[in-house]
Amino acid sequence: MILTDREIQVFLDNRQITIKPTPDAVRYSSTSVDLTLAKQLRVWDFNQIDKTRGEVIEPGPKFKYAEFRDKYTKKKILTNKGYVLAPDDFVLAWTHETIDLPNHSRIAARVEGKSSLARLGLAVHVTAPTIHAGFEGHLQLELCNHGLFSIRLTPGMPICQLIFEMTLGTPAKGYSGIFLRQKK
Amino acid sequence: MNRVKARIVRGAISSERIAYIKTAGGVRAEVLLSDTQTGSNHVLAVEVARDKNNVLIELPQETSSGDWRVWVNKNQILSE
Repeated sequence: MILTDREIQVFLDNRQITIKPTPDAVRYSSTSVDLTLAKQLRVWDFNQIDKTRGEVIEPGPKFKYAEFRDKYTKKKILTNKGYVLAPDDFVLAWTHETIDLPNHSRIAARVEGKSSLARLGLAVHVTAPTIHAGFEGHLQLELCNHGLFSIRLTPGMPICQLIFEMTLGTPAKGYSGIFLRQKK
Repeated sequence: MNRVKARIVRGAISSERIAYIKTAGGVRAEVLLSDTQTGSNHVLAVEVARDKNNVLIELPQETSSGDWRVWVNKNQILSE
């Protein structure tokens, strides 16, 4: 079952969902809440990529994503002018807000694009929208411009929406971790 | 909830931590987490099963190789 705006508010009040900073009322729709773009992006370092042109990524037990990311991308801090995402450009981004979905709250979520941006060709994830119960932190976004025109990304712009769903039962780890938060 | 021994380094953004966990198979599993899910030398994980020497843990996030659950030697568990 998808949570409506009223249920999202109840879950927020009960701390079964935490979003920091708390979204403004205008960020809600009937069944979702918008999140905004953080100041930091990771953009591809084409000088580095050119040096190793032809390298094949081999996902598997020995693959270290963070090392790959650090080698081939560089940090970009956005000013108010933002970042112009050209057609076919792909960058890593994060939401400004942090999310906390405690295991025992029986909530999972999906991060999805906003139709207003989707119509321009902007995708916010690459086939991995699920936010599992137990997630904490900033949401990573994979921004890709599939459109024909460049799109200016500015910090604080509504970039994606979260849709919350109730799980049928509590995951096993929810029982193990049920007292964790009381120890904090 | 268990604290599982790990090497923790800072990630790409302020809240991100990268944890390297030695698995029972000898592989160093990499997982990207929030700073709230790690300490200076451990990650928080849940025990799912155990055998004589090893414990199957579920991590708070999927590892870079795609596993949510990994076997670790029981001496990797710092506390329960």
